[in-house]
Amino acid sequence: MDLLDARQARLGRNQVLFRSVNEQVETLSGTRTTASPVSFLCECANLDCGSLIDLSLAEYEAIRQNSTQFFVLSDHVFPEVETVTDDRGTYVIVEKFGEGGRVAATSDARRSPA
Amino acid sequence: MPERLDHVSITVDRRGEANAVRLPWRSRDYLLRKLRTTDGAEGIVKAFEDVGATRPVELTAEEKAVLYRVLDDRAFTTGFHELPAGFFELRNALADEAADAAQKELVGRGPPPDDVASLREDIKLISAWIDLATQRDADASAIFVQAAGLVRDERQARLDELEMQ
Repeated sequence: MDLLDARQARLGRNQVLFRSVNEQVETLSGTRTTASPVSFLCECANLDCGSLIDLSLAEYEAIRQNSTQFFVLSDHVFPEVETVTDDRGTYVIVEKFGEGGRVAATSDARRSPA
Repeated sequence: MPERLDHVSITVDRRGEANAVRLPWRSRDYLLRKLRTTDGAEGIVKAFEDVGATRPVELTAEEKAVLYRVLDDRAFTTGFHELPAGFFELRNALADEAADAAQKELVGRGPPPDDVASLREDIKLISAWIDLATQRDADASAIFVQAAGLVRDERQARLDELEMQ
């Protein structure tokens, strides 16, 4: 693994960690209606971020359908490890590529092999 | 410049479908100059020269890997915002294709194994988020704090397991 791969992998792992927390947020918010907003953790690769983004459970579920997709505040994009696939105003959807994409795809608990 | 010489297309796969990524002719010339001095890029240069501007450039997986490295080196040398037109898009498309191929290859395999250092880092990080959220607005972030606590507990349990081994 070269330096770029290592960086992509670590950034990917950070985002996988954010996703794990957000999956729990969704579970704990399960009694709410799908339209009311819930505060999720910004899934950017910056470990010091800690910002919250309000999404409905329906919006969250739509993003979660793809293992390599994450939602981040509009100015929290890392172009060397991800590309913006959708701009939702206050936040954007990014897709991880390279080693980070691999880490994200293989660490998705929803799609882990039995 | 006639329309047909305005750009060249390179075929890149995305989720199993062939897509054409366009590179302006000026960028294509710049790239070829760079590739002519790159070891192992002879096949790429030939592929570009053979098709001219009339057909898309078709490259092997190995050639695409070399091309990605050249584009990526250039990106890190000059910065992403100063790349010749089309380089960034081509680089990303090549990276996406490589990621797709790798993910396909990894189907059936589990996630990368946890290690003690990464788990410790995760636990420290989650604790910092919880502190931050609690300071900010305890009511609004109650669910988040609870969720983060559950993930921290799960990471801690895995760390304990690893340390026992």
